[in-house]
Amino acid sequence: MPVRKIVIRAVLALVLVGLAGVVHAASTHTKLTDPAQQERFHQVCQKLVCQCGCNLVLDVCNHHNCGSATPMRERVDQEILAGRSNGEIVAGFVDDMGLVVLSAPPASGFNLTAWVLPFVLLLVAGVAITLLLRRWKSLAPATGEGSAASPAARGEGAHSDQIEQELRDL
Amino acid sequence: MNDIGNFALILCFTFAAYSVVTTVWGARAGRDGMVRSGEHAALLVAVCMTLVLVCLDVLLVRSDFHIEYVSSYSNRELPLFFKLASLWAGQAGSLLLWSWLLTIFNAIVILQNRHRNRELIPYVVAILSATSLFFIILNLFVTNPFDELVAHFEDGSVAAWAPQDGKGLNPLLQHPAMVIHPPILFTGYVGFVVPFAFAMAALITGELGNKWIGLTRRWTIVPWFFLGTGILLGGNWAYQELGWGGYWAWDPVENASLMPWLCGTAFLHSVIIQEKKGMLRVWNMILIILTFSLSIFGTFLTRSGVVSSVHAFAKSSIGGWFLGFLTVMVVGAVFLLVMRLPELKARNEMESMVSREAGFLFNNLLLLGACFAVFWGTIFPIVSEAVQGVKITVGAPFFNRINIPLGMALLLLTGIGPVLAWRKTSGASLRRNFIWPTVIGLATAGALFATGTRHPYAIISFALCGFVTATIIAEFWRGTRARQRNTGEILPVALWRLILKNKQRYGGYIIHFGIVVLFVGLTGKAFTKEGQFELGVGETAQIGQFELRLDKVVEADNPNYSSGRLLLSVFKYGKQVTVLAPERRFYKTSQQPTTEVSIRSTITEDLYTVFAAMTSDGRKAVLQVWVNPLVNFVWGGGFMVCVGTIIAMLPDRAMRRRLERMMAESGSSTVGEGAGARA
Repeated sequence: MPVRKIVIRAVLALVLVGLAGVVHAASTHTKLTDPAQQERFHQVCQKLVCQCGCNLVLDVCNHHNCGSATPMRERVDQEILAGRSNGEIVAGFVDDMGLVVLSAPPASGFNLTAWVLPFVLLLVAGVAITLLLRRWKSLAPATGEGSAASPAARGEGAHSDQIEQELRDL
Repeated sequence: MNDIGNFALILCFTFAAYSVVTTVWGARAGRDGMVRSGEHAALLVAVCMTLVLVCLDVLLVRSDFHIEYVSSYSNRELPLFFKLASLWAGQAGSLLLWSWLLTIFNAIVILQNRHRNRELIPYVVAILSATSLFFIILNLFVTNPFDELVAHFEDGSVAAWAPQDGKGLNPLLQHPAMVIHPPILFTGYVGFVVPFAFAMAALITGELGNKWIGLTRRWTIVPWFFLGTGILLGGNWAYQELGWGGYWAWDPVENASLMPWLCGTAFLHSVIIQEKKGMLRVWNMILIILTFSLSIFGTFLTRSGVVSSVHAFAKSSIGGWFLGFLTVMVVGAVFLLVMRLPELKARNEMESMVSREAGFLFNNLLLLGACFAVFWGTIFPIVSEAVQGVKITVGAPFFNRINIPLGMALLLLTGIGPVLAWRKTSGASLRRNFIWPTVIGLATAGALFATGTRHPYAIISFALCGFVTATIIAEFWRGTRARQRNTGEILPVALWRLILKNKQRYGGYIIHFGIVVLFVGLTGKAFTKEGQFELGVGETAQIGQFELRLDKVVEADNPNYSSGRLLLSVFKYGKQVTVLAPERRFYKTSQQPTTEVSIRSTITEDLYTVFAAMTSDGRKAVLQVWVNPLVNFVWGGGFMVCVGTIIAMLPDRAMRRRLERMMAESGSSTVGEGAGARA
């Protein structure tokens, strides 16, 4: 396929994706017909994990007539039709099956650490790096932009240095 | 044959143990002959381990079912290609593959360094041989692939026994990608042991300059490349074989391969600062220890079954051995590092917070942040059970929510970092370099919003992809124009020679562009559509712009499996575009059903079909369909990363000169012409 055609198709793909404008088509694992209810079905299923051992969220498990996913999905259908909120439906599953049914740890108690710790460490490390950089900055003698510090830094070869110089001069 | 294999395994054990002792003893005593003897022993381990591998493959090809491993992972009707590959289908075989790769790497290191780097090599060989020895011990005493099946009789007697046929290879593994995926992935895992061994040798000998960094540059890129390729192949296998429409499920075993890759990526970036500025010497030691530890931890996760995973075929109780080995190696490495800490301290200086050095440090921060997020999510079920006594699941929604923002930040840095100057970047330079990329990024976001996209992450991701692409193109453009001005070459020639003259730098940019393309593909996942339909012959289903008509159900049978195949005519805007044939197989030996997906793949999207089952009355086929936009960008991006890596690994005169200078600065007198580049 000519390169131009590939590029045009790639651009078209991005535009089509934009035009689609739908994040997730409703899953037809549900018997619900109302699009709003189908969307709610999808939202609830994303919060639950199939218990057949596939480790996939309820929406994704593709085992036909799965002994776990099928009755769970039917229950989600029924509870949406019964007028329960998403939170109530998920809480009902947790009451019956335990926290293991959730696709992600709840953001409370000790489980909050699952969510918070990566970002806390990132923040602490970020602050530490910033402080370290400031300290190193205070040790450095002032020179011009992009000047090399060690013989190794000058060592990419004359051509590279020339390009670097050209780039700075642009 | 199994006796020969077992005997060769015993020889491996003996030679590896001898190699560890004599190389260290010889180095301490200053007896080169003893060191050479240890190196020869390590070469013999590679030869014997190859023999072990050949023996097991011969047993598999001959369907010698009195061997437990053969009867567990092979059967008579298994095609030869898969019989050979079933060598790494089970635990004992895959550990054997690990050992074999390591012994081969050890042999290459020895042969490369017969006349140079003699002060480091004894310890490098000792560490590589000690690691090999650990795996050989596992194969010899814990999970021996040559164990024979025995029958126990009521009178207490025991006799050799062989079943008529084997249990067969897991049908899910009977896929070309799965045949090459484990060796490639293992090459990545095992390869990281080499730079670790060089780092430890540097700590032991006190050769703490940049020498070990220069010597192991290619030894780091190669495993990084293989690990990345292995991850991608695994994703491709999952996409084509598992039939759930995706390629990455954040399964613990998938995460196990991602963690050392992320850490290795941080190391690859971080060593550039040490090469250029002599900074971060302690940090680079920590990074390579971490990368090595995560490689072993990955193997531990794969083998131990401590976390729930779809890779159930790898579960066992061998985890304790790995944990023990990992503890010994990490404690040893940290001890050496602490002992050498005063000598490793460098005079770190930085003129500005807006510099390439700072960019690299924040790149390291984000890569390690993502690595920790994956690690924490993967082990959190174990932590939760230990602390709260409650079993918990950490699935894809958690990993996506934590890692998507980190991925975006990394993507942003991919665009910013390379354009920053060493030491200091002026405001004028920032404006000059970033104004157009920023305009292009914002224009991309605006265009997507104007055309109806409301998914925030997708808009941000595509905008960042536009921004980074613009910075990369600008870098190539400036370099090419500069070369044109100096040489008068025409544009394509100047571009080609620009890349050839500085393969590391421009290979790196191609890798960055591959990552951008990969992100485009990953973002496409946000727009997936899916549907499940029950179709009788002649009936149609509609999904997105596609209409699918079931024309026929074809049944077939061969000695390995029986199958049912749907013939689906696919129409787009009323015009037939293809015929798809998703299949459902039933493997006779393993009594396992599998689905073989059928995909219409174009650059814009994949139409992905799965024949899930027949309805209970047998009159209709249950069809699952996904429309996955931009999936080919994932594979295309991966391919570009491979191309960029190969370019970056090619022999480079500028790089060689720099390495030689580094060696000279490290006070080495034994480095020959181009030693570092070839090592």
